[in-house]
Amino acid sequence: MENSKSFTAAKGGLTKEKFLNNFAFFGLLLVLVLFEILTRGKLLGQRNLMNIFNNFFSIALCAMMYSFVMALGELDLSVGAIVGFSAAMAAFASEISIYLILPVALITGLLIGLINGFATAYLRVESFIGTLAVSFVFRGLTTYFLNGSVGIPIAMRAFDKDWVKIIALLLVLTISYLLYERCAFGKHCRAVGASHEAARQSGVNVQKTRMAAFALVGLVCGLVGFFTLVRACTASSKTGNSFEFDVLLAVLFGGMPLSGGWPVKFRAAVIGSIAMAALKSGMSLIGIDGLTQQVVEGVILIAVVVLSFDRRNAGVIK
Amino acid sequence: MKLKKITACVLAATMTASLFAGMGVQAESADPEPFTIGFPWDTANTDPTWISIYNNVKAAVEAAGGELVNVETDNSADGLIDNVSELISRDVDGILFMPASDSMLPTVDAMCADAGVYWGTIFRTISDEDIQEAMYSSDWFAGGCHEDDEACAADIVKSMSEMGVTDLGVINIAKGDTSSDLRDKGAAEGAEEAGVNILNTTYDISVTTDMTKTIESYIAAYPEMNGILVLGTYCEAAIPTIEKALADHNKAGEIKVGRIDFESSLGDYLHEGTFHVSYGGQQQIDPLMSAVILVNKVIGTPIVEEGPTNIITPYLELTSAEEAADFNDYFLGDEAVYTADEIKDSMIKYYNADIDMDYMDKLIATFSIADVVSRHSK
Amino acid sequence: MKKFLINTLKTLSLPVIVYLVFLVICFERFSNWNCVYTIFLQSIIPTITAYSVAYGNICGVFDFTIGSRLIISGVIGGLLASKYGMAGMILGALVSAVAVSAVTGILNWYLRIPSLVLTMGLTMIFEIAGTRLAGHYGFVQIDTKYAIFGSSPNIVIIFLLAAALFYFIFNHTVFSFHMRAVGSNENVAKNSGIKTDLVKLKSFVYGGIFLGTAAILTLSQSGSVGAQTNLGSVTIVFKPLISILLALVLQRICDLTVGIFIAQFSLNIIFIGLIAAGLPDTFQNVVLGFFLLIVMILFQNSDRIEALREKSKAHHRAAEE
Repeated sequence: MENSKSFTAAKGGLTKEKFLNNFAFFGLLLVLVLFEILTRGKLLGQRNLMNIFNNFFSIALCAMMYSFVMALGELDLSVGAIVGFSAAMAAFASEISIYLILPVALITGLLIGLINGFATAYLRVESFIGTLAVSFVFRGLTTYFLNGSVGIPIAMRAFDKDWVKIIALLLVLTISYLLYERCAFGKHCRAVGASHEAARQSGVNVQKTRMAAFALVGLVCGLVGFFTLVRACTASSKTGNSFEFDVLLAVLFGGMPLSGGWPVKFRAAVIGSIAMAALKSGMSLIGIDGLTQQVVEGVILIAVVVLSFDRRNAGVIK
Repeated sequence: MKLKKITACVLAATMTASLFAGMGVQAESADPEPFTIGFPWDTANTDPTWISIYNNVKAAVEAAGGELVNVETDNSADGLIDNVSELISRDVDGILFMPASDSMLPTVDAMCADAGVYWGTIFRTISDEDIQEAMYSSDWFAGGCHEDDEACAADIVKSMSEMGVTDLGVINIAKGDTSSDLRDKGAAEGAEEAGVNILNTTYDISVTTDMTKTIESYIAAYPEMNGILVLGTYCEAAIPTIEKALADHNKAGEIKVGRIDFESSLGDYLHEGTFHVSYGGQQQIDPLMSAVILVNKVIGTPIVEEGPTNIITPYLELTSAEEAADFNDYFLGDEAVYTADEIKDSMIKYYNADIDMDYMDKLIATFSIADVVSRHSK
Repeated sequence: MKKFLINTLKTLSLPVIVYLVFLVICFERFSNWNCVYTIFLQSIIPTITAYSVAYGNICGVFDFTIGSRLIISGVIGGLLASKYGMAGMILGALVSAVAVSAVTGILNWYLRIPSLVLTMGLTMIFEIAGTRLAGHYGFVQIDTKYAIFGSSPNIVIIFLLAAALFYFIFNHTVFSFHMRAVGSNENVAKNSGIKTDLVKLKSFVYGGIFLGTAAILTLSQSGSVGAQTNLGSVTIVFKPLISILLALVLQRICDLTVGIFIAQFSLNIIFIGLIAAGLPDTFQNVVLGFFLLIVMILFQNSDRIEALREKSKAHHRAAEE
């Protein structure tokens, strides 16, 4: 009955269902087309494409692993603090050896991710509050330890090359996609998000799944910390500032639901990250001032979710 | 499959349309070749000082026939690196920015060198000797204009000491910022020299409620405190908030208040006698001069032939409510501290071959609130 | 009566213990009445802000807009103070706070999207509205003659009135029962005939009254209210939120009205304590984070702790026998 109400754009083509499923994709397309015209072709020019890539690179890396946490129906507000702290620790490690920069960043990120996971899974702390508390702790520690800013050798900029980042992005994309779509882990995350009791009864180790999801986010934040560090060659108390909002906005832009479970689509993370970067770049290219940019982003965020939110399957909307 | 075809068609049509849209005709002129200067600045910030900084940079760029390209920034090191990357992708000829730290500069220089873009700094000096040496030898670093933060902080502490301040509570912008660190250092030196005890320093206050809380906490925890010094802050209405907290505790006038960087409300408190000393006034001349240095370099008439041009501005002192009112009218208004014609005639070497370092130093030495008033009053 | 006294002592033990810790660290600076009184006064505005967050929080609504709404109402109150004096400030702040809160609540009702997303988007819009209203200088300042509510005893009187109103609404109205029902299980509440959307809307509107009050006090205490952009206002909600969470932990031994204040008072002891101890202010966040984490762990695992205690008692009994 519901289907009979759906509109048909072309025979056997776009139904409302399909439209909603691909909403984020259409949104991205709209942003690209609109700003490509408004910027007279500058948006998708070769140089600006790399600029858009650089802008969405860190957010996309984190957003892809964030999908696991979102699938669980959880949030992680500590990602910015993890990026900042892992960059700071890696910068200190560079004073011993530059070969320690990457491993220290990754291990630091992983450890904080494990703390988040442990607090959420085993100590039953609500992820929103737990990760907020963790972010307070590590933001404070970053500022305290850095006591200003710490630089690393300029030679490390070699890792800021586009091809290195493209490989890193493809690697994380492949791993996270396989984990999410092809491995039991991704299904477990969605099953726990849909109903952790049902998941438990069907043999899913809920606690380990939660712990692993937060650990993965921590690990990838360590990687983001590394790339942030080699890009600026400096770690400061501002490194990773408001990154948590950037990532959250990106996944929401992609139409990812907060309720977790099966409706959480992996592609939303990628599409949302690109759409947000393209939107920001487009607005900047046509000379929209900062105040207007913020209003436009706010309106679009609400509009995207209003149009794409699946109210029928959402049950209670909090 | 259908979806992909539709997408491909739409994108192809859009890109073709945009190719034609970009065509234009370039006019010939006796002025320098048209150029663009990129400037990462937070235009969402409506603080009049921040707006005046933008206006002064814009005036300097447009005086020489250039165009200012703005990108939004959070002024963090990694944010600025992204901004530089974006501006390079937009084919600017020069980039002007406020560095978040010394250690980010080699990265910026490398990026600009790769792209063949000149760059310059506003407000900040380069404290790290190794980085300074490397940047000064770069072909792409145009230089910049800054005040002597360290001396300014040391002098204001000594000045407060002469007013009888012995125990000082301090507010500063976030650690890691070059100016913040230098002002901390200068304040410590000034305090040691004058025998002033710095009780505590609180960093990075951004909202008035936190400012109130900090001042009240200082009053409660340090009954001996007889001076508050704001070395720097991005909190709006910082001085009114501090004055209000002091008044509520019957300490207004009794605890001496000082501030580096002028703000719009100082006149009222100078008049009431509850605010005591402020050094600053560089927020407008520094960015303007920095832009002038970069513009001259970009159009091929650098002020200094070899190496970067570095100008140090002397800080001004507000001594009366009248001066503070003039500052609000002539520094925080819509007009830059030098008009486009003044900049063109006295700061752009392309139009005035006499310009060199001596010339600029003499010009800077005459800069004061009274000077701006006399030039711009109608 | 005995139970009440025991519970009161238990409740007061939280700030007392925190105070004693800092008293040991810095006795000279912390052992004066002025310090305690300052902590008390500093706790008032965050407590009233927390009251405005609490209704929504109990309903399960998450609200990022608190900070931006506080700024808008403060700015409007400040602007109207210069035109219509004290009445302008009070009415301007209260009416605008309730109006903006109602708009948020209505949008939450009609758009039917998660409150976290909606309020994040609205924060971006409200911040810019506040910035535009604040005008050229980015902040509004009031004449000191209108700032009479910012200092003692007026601020204390307003606090007591606000606490009484919060207590009444929270404990003795039909709304309070509905609010708890929605918070504990919205589906069950809906099936039992409660208009859950209306309850949520009311939680915004009632919260708006306290937010307006907090805006008046902020204006009066600081003498000015500044605009924020780039989601800078979001952080304003975190500290009131922490005090609500702590108060929920204390709920078994004291009412939420008192619990929120006790929690806020304890947090402020930490803040002034760190300053008095001469420690860098960066430690404030570290201590706050740890404090929150420990309290949440204790709260979420109270059943386990209880079970452990029972087990230990049983073990002792068995050993004695």
